[in-house]
Amino acid sequence: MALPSAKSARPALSLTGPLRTLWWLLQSPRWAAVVTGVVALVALLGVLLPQLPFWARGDPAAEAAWLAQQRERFGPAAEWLWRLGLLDLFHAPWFAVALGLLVTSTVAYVVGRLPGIWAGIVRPRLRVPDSYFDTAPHRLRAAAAADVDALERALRRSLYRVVRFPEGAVTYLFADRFPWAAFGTLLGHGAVALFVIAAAVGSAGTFDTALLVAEGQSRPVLPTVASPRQMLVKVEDATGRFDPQGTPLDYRTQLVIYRQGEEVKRCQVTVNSPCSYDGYRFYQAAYFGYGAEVQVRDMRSGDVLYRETLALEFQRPAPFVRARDASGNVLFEGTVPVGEPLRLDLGQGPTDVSLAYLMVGGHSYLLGLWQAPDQGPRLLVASGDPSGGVVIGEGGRAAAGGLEWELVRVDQVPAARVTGFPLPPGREGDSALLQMTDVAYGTANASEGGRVPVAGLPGMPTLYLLGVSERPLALRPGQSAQVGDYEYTFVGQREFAGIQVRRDRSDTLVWVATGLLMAGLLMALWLPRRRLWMRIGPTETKLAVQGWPEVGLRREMERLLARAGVRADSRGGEDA
Amino acid sequence: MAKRRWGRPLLALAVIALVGLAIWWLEYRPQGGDAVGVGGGPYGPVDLPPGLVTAGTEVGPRTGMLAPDFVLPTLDGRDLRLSELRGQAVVLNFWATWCSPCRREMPLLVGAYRQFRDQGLVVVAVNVQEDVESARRFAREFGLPFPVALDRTGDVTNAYRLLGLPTTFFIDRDGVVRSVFRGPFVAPGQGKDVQEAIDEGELGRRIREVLQ
Repeated sequence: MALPSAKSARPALSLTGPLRTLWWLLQSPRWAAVVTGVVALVALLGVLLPQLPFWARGDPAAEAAWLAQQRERFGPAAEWLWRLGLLDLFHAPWFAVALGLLVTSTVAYVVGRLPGIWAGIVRPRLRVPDSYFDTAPHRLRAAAAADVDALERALRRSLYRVVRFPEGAVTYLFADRFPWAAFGTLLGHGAVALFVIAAAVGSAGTFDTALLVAEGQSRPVLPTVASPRQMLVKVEDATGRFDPQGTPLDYRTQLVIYRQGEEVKRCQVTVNSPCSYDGYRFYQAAYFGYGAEVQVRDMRSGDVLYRETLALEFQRPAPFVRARDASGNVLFEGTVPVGEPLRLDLGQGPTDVSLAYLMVGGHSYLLGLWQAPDQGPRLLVASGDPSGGVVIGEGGRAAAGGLEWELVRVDQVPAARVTGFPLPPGREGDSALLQMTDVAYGTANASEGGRVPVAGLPGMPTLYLLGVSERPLALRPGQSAQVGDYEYTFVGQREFAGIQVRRDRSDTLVWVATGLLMAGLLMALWLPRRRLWMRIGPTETKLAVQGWPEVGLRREMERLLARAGVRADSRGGEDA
Repeated sequence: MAKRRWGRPLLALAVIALVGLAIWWLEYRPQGGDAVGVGGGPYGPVDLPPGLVTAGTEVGPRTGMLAPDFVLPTLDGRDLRLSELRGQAVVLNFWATWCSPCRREMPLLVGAYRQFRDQGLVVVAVNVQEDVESARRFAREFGLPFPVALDRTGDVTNAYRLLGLPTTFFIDRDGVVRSVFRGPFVAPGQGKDVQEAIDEGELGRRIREVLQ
């Protein structure tokens, strides 16, 4: 049959050829340039187009919701962008392939040159033909025999490795210095590859979120409901210290990190000293000192209806007033929180007036605060009908209801309008206005100043609840008051810590790559590599040298020959 | 010859593998502290006992399906298996202390439990992935009279395919999910007390539905 002969006639299938071509291609600088260009272009697209956020990846519902947003933005094109992987570009398989090619190419370049450089270090060419001394780009000649021993001593003092070959009347000499500095460029290439990997890793896995957590409370880090990687950050203690001018001196927080119900880390964080766990870094990003923990209990059942730590994040004006009797005795001095502005006509046209009731000496007084155009704050004090009250400017005094009233100043007090706040049954509305006075900003005993003017008298704060009853409830920490069937308790002032949580998987890689790059640049640029051959005859000395940097190479070699007792001819090889 | 020919490519592969291993070691290797004491083991989703599977009814966290069974530890140190509550109407509430709406609706669940427990209602509050102390403190503050189960791994929460907290499942006496309520029930305080909020709101209506 013809089969055996046909088989023998067919050329043997060899994988060596294509693989060798691939190997050659991977080492080619042109190929590297093409791949680099493609990766750069794709990365640019990744910056310009929105990318699927980290938290939505792997969660079909979140992914679908995000994609729906993109459909609104891009219309039908969103579908094609998604299918092409352009909306999750840094996770697209083809992007990974491109990056892989770039890294492979760089590694191939490094590996391809590694053996040659290695051989040059451990097995350098010790002898060159005599003709090389007349043709080398960098060469010198002296019309006298150098002192070989002195030459060798001079070379060794300059950290050269020296090998001598005596041949009759002629001595050949080889010397080299810092040969391993040639690895510098390879380290640089390795660093580039690592930077590429770091960029890919960073783009794929960077996570950043900010949490505002009150003392004693916790917050989840990841936006998913339940995840094996979910962590809870609990703030045990938040501290803010300020100087008398209100400038922050120090923010620090005692954190506990939980995963799956177990405490996995306990640490203190500051702005510059984060805490790390599982690749996530927890920084102190902010501090907020005006928090109030409030509880509401239904006295009929004894059940707690509400217990929250509220951030009083707004500021509202509140008059600081002083009331004296006819003898000049001060009967009241302090900040009086006022309610939401009401439009009233006090005889000068409609004005937005914030009202408050104040009990002094067993009598009730109505106070109204407003901002008069071009005149500053104005305070109305009335003991009965508002139309019969007196109006006082800042720093002014006036008599009303048998007392002398003084508007000392207008403070800014921390406040919050809380919707969904439990109001006693039968009371209209669904919100309360909370204001806190006599409160210093910053951790107690550590702060003498405030970022905002300290409201009222420094000391134990007072929380005012407006809206739960006809008159505001004023509560000191730990104090309760009953309104109808509900009991309201001001549990205490609380501080908040702003915690920034970041994960950048690439940071270690970037550090390693930076280290490699620095080491490579130092080796390649700082250490002068030299390799020289000499032929020392009875009447002349010839020298050929290779090295980098070439600047000053000739003068360096002339000094070397001078130390061996010979002077180089003015003519010789080229010099850099 | 073959060795020399393949030496460099193999070295390149080795370098790439080494770099990959280093990256994995530096960035992706699991760190200590991930081990969980209570999670895993006997706790988490379990198959319904064969005798409790109704023919033709699927198991799943949707309306009309048999509620997925699970075993979880409770705050009082017992193990709670959902299928063992068969014969009683169950309000299965997923919550966390950091979830403000969960905190707001919890008094309603307490009130509803007190109101309907004599009719065979059980409330199971599943705390999602928190530490025991936080859950215990919350239960003490709010005086929770019903069992609080601890889903530390989140496996049960995921089995019920939650999109957010709070989420409440209403399971009838046959173990069938009658309705799912995502989000908080309207809390008392808006001119209503707890009793009114239950009676006039979604919570009371859905509880009565599963008690039938």
